[in-house]
This record gives sequence, structure tokens and C-alpha cells, in this order.
Amino acid sequence: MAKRPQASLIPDLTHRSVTERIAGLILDRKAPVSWWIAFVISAALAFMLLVVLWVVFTTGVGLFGINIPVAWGFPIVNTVWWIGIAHAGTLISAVLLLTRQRWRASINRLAEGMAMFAIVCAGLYPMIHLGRPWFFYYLLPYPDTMDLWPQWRSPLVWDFFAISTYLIYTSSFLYLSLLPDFATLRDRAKARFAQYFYGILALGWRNSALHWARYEKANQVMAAVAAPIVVSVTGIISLDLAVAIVPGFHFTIFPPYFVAGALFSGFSTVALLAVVMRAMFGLKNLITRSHLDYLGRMMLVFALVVDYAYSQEIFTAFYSGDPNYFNVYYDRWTGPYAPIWWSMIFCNVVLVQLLWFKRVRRSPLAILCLAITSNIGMWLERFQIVFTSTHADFMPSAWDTAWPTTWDWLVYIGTLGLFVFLLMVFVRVAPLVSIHDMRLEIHGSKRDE
Amino acid sequence: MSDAPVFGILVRLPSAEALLAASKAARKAGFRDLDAFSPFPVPDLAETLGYRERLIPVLSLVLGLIAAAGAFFMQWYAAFDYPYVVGGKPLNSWPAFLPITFEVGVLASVLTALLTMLIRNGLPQPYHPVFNDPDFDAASSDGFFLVLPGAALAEVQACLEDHDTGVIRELAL
Repeated sequence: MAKRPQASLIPDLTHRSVTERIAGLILDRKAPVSWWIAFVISAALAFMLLVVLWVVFTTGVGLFGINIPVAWGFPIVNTVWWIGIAHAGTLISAVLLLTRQRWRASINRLAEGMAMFAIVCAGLYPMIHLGRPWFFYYLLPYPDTMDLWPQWRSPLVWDFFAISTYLIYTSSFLYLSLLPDFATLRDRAKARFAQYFYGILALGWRNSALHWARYEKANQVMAAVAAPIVVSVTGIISLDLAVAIVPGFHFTIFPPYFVAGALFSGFSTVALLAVVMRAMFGLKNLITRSHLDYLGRMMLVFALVVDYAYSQEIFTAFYSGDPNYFNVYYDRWTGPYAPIWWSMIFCNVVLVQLLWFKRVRRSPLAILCLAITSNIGMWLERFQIVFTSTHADFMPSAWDTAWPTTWDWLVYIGTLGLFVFLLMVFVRVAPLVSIHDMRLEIHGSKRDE
Repeated sequence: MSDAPVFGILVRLPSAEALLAASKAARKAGFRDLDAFSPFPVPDLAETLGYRERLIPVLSLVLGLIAAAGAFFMQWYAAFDYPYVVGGKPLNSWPAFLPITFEVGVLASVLTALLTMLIRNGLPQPYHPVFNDPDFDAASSDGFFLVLPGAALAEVQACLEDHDTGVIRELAL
């Protein structure tokens, strides 16, 4: 098979220069001012999250806008949104590895780090939403004296297993990918503390051919497992809704639809972070405009899948002939949450069409703006699924509306801060571009020439 | 350095291709327990050294399946141990057990892959003779090394005579 040379993606780099360059970002250089600004603001927001959670845990979930019939509300909207972002991180890294796409080298670390921190934020919400978070271990089959088991048929238990599996998986995958890079940092570090720090993290990795052979196999196994994990975790989260009989939730298209939505928001977030990081750390020749172009194409592909799912959802609702389903749609289009629906359509269906143009995909500013609107659009989508489906179901006597309260917003903003905070710490401790993948990519493109 | 006990011989080579060629020649000449070091996984290098990784995928699959079966059994057992009929569904309502069965199986296979890799590589390992070489840092940037444990300097020099080698020197234990 004729390989298309991809040498133009990263011109004029050698093994040594790329190693020194990326390791130098951590070891030699003082952090840029923009990093400090982001770090301080996000640290403040993360601290605010701690305070807010303390208030929520001592007062109760009555602080949130949730009510009956909208029992799930904001926390679940945010869980699904964060989990979606996490998924694309894993999938980008894993699928691009399995399909041997060399352009992954510049962005896979960013994607893995993003997945790791997004899952932390996602995992927080179900705990908060439990109301009594100190009883979360009831979801585990632990040996208790009353001989009780968890209810295996409950989606809440499925969620617990899915999210914790995903958390363990993501951290293992991230650590595996960092291992050779920690060894690189250990070898380059001048300060005694840094030598010990990276020496311990590197576990004695010494770039032996036998190490690499086992490493590559383990990496392939993990990547092969990643795709089913991603599909299963979002799929299971969507089953929480789809197993309900509530119109607006009860759609068989939900699992694939949620996965596509997850990938759309995740690719948008990777694009967003790529644009921000290349500006912050001056990585314009490592993360090139061609990388943004590829990310833009992926965003467009998954946006189109999501748009197809919207049309299918509407079609199913009307084809079923069920007046309750009709009602959900009339309500979404004209009811109290109509602005949310129409804004979602504007962001996810109308605006993304700009990505058909190459000039838009190659412009960092345009990609940045579209990544932000796509994330807002996906958030609105989760919002309208959770809120509009439950606020007016079968019996008009039970109809009510729910709106997020200040506390809802504070928790949400707090997790955004936590995410940025963790990411900012991460990029100062670990290389934000995978050094060994970059070296392999250089080796490959030299051979193609 | 001359008085210290010798671990073996270290050869530095200029490129991945040279490393591959030198490894092949050294294997052919009868050197055993060779190890090669490169800043990125060089294709076919491990095979040249006579190594083939089969255990990780097989073990991951087997342990993953065992764990999945165990998770299914746990749920099935619990459904009968603590019978609780909801909506007239049978006790063995297996489709509802699949999400957890799947997740547990996948988790087991992932952890197997990671731990097998670490254990088989002998990590964590704080000390290894190669770290004694002053240039070995380059293995994580642009250095390619071949290490022949227990070999004599003259033998190695004779064997790699026709090869494009850099330094050849003894490696202290």
C-alpha cells in the first residue's frame, strides 16, 4: 500500500531537538505569564468548588434547582457533558494509535490528559447528586453483615461500575504513555529533586528493545480495549435514560447518539486545548495548522452524525404515533425551554457547517470559536434531553419547570476551574506533547522521504 | 574503571538502521542475552534479538474472560441469594447483568496488560549497569546502543568490524 508521506506535518525536527524542546518546556523554562494567569484563576475556582461542596454536603441537595418531576437536573447534565469530553480524549489517542495515524503524536498526550481530568469532574456529580455521598460505597458488592447486595438491575449501579472502570482505565493508559517520557525527563533533569522525582516515576525505564516490544503490545491491547470502553461507558449512561419509559428518554437510538455527541464535544475540546496550548507554550511547529485541519474534520464528521441523530429522534417521535411523544417535541420547540432547543440547533447544526471550508479549519481563531460554540451546543443538548423530557411527562397534574440555581452554577463553574487547574499542573509536570511518539513520528517521516 | 568488575560491552551506533544491522551481526556471531536501546520502538528490533511478545495479549484476553464470567456469576448468584422480583421479571434477567459483566472483564484485561508489561520488564528496577555509562542518557534522545553482557572487548570489535559503529567500550557492573 502506498503511504502518503506526512513529513510536511512537522518540518525540520530531529530526535535530539524535539526531545530537548519538549523536555525543556518543563525543565528549563519558566512558565509563561499566560500560564500563571490561568493557574491562579483556576486554582481560585477549584478552591471555590471545595467551599461550595462543603456547603452542599452540609445543607443538602435542596440547594439545587432539582424538583419532582425534574429529579435529575443539572448535575446529570454536567456528568454526561464531562464524560463526553473525556471519551473523545481516549478515543483519539487509541483509535489513531490502532490505525497508525502519525499525526496523533502531537495531540495524543493532550487528549489523554484531557480525558483524565474530565472524568474526575464527571465522577464528582453522581456523588453530589446522591445527597448522602458518604454512603456511595453501597453501590459496591462489599461484604456487609446484613448480607445485602447492590441492585444489579439498576442503572445507578451500572454507572458506578462504568465510571470507575473508566477512571482506572484512563489513568493506566495515561501512565503507560508517560512512562518513557518520565525516563527522558529523568535523563535530562539537572536539579537533584527533579532527578529523584522523575527517576521514581520512570520506574527504571531504560529504552531497551525488549521493554519497547512489551510496551507496544500492552499499548495495543489497551488501545483495542479503549473503543469498546468508550462506547460502553457513554452507552451505559444513555441507558440510564433509555430504560425509562418517559417520552424523550425512551429511544433506542440513544447509545450511538450519545457516543457521537461525546466524540463531537471531545474533539472540540481537544481542538480548543490544542489552540490554547500552542499559543501558550509556542508550539506552532509541533501542533501545526494541519493538525487543526484534521481536528476540524473530525468535529465536522461527528457533528453530522449528531445531526442525523436529531432527525432520527424527531422522526421516531412522530412515526410512533404516540401523542405523548408529539407533545415532547411541540414542547421542546415552543415550550418554556424552547430557547435552549433552538440555540442547540444553531450551535450544533448551523454553525458547524463552517467546518466544510478549509480556510476555517486551518484558522486557529475560527477553530477556537467553533470549539467553544460546539461545547456550548453539546451542553445545551444534554440540558434539553434531561429537562424537557421530565418536566412534562404523562400527567399534566405533575408538570413543573426546574431552573438551575446559583449553587448549580457555582458547582459547574467550580468543576470547570478544577479541570483547568489540573490541566495546568499537568503541563508543568509532564510533557504536553508525547516525546517518544514524536521521535517515532520523525523516524517514520524520514523513512518515507 | 579498569579495576571495576565488567558487566559487558556497550556499543554506540549512529542510527536505528545501524543498530538493527549490528544486532543481527552480533546474534549471528553467537552472542547471547543481547540488549539494544533506542529512543523509540524500532520496528523488528526485538525480533532481531530473538524476542517475540505473545504473552500480553493472550493473558489479557484469558483473564478478562475469567473476570467477566466471575462478574456475571456474582450477579446471577446475588439475584437468587436475595430474590427480589420487580415488574414480574425473572430472577435471571441476564440482559441487565451485561453492563457490569462487560466492564469488569474489560477492567481486568486492561490491568493485566499493564501489570504484565511492568512485571515482565522487571520494573520498577532502580539500578541497572547501563546507567553507569556516561553517554547512556542519549538513549532517551538520539542515541542507539547495543549491549553485549559478558562479552570481551576484542571479540566484539572483531565481530562489528565492518559496521558503522561509534564508541565501543566496557560497561562497569
